[in-house]
Formats: sequence, C-alpha cells, structure tokens
Amino acid sequence: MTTSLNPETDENVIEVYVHTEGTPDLQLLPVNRDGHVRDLLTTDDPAVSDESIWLAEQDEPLDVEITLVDAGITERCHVHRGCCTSVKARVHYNGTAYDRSFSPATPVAQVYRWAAGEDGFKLPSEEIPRHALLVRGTSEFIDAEVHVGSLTTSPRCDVDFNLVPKKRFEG
Amino acid sequence: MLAAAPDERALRAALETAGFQSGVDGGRWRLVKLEWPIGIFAVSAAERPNSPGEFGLRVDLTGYPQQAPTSAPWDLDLDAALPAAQRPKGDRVGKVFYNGNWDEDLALYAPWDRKALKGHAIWRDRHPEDVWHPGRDIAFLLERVHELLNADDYAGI
Repeated sequence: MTTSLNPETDENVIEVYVHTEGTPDLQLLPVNRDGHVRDLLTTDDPAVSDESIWLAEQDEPLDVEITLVDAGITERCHVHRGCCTSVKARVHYNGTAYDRSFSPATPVAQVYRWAAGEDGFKLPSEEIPRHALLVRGTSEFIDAEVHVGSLTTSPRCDVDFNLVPKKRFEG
Repeated sequence: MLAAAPDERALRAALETAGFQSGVDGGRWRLVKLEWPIGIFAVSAAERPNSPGEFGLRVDLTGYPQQAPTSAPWDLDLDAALPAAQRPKGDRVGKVFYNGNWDEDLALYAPWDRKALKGHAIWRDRHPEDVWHPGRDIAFLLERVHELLNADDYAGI
C-alpha cells in the first residue's frame, strides 16, 4: 500500500487525484514517481481486483502493468478508479428522459453539456447557464469536476439525473 | 504559543483537502492570505472584455464550519472593498455580488453567506442545494462562486 509515502520528505513521491467509484469525495494519493498504474488500485494484487484506472476524461482504462510515466500520470493529475467500465446516465426533464453511456471518468459538466445540448433537450442558449443536474432523489448540485463514475457503483453502473432550473436568490 | 481554536483548525484542515487543492491546481481559486479569522481568496473568472481574470473575496471564517462564512467582494490590489462598479455583472452573478436593495452589500447575496442567510431563513427551504450547513467546506463556497463567474451569463464588469 502507498499510505506511508510522504511527498514532503521524499522527492520521488508524487500525489495523484483519485476519483473513486461510489463517492464524490476526491482523494490525493501519494505514489512513487517510478511506480506502476497498479499502485493506484485499492489492492496490492491486481489479479484479484475488478478495478480499473482511467485518466480523467478518457474512454479506455489504462493497462495497470505499465508505469505511471508511460501512462502519462504526472504530479497532481486526475485519474478515476472503479469497476464500472461505462456508466449509463439517464437525464429526466419535463416528463421525458434521454440516456447515454459515458466513460466513468467523464466529468459531470460534460454530461450536462450533452443533456442540455443538441443531442439532448436542446435548451435555448440563454437557459443553459440557468440549469444544472441533480442526482435524482437528492437536493445537491454536483461539482462540475466530479466524475459520473463516482455517482454509482458496480454492478449497477447507472445514474439518474433531473435537469432542473437554478433558482435565483430572491426575497 | 496558544493552540488554534477549533474553527481555525477546521479551516486549515479544509485547505489541505483534495477538494480545495484540486481547485488551486486547476486554477479555479487560490488562497491569497490567511490572517485568522479572515481569509482572502481569489476566484478565477471567464474571459470577458475589459474585465479581470479573477475576483477577490474577503471571507470572515469565524465559527467555521458550524457558522456559514460571510464574504465581501474585495480589491486584491488595494486590499479594500471592491466598489460596485467593478463587481461582476450578469443575470445570476450580478445579483449575488451586488443587490442594490440590500443594506449588507459587503456580503454575497446567497444562501452560503452568513449575513445573507440570517435575513433569509426561507432560503433553507427554497435552496437546500445552496444553503450552508456544517457539512459544507470552503471549497463548496469557492466552487459556487467559480461557477457563477464562469457561466455563460457572466457579463464581465
């Protein structure tokens, strides 16, 4: 495990932002600069893990046996860790719904652009900044940088959103 | 040396979290200085003609996170309150940064601001997704402001 690594005292240690399946909370994980992608898994033995690692916004998971350098993982870059290989996002608005599959490493902002845009609900341009996605059954907007794969868990691997107006603060 | 009080310790811990640091690394916001209980932060803004690339906030963090912070729009160069004419304009952000009908204009008119929330209890029901509660952290506030300053309806100053 990598938890004893300290980037403040060891210049060979870098930190990587890890977005994890099932939680929107981001982790800053220390790893050896000359380590491997598998070092980012939650287990030391990739043979017993169903997890994969993605670079943020990428569709294909990384080969866990290659080095961090070869994978393009550098200081404080963002990766996604999880078991869902794709996530179906279903967005509900005005009684209809559209769905589309995304890489789990897709930021929610990108899901919103699709849902509000020409392939989704075709919101007028002036309405796009006035709406947002809420995970159905919650009352929390999702930070635009959260990965869609962090909002679900395997084997479900889907997320239901409501497209809702952002209310102005009045009164 | 006196040990820091719980609110200061909580804030300093929040500054080390991945959520806050990710915003710093991504160029979304930065801490300019912290002189407890005041933190000066800068939040980046989308490019608009004749407008700055970031706006300052003077955030009073007393009681953090049990109490909501309260934030005054701030001139980072002069270390003084930002005049209304230099505050961000636009459909939503303009209302948050300046509400001409509101006496407490040295605060943000939003449910995550202590002064604003105090006079608008109804916001707790109307805006649960935006209202401050002790489970929030400083990155939540900065993320909300950053969203406003980078939305298509932000019109510059």
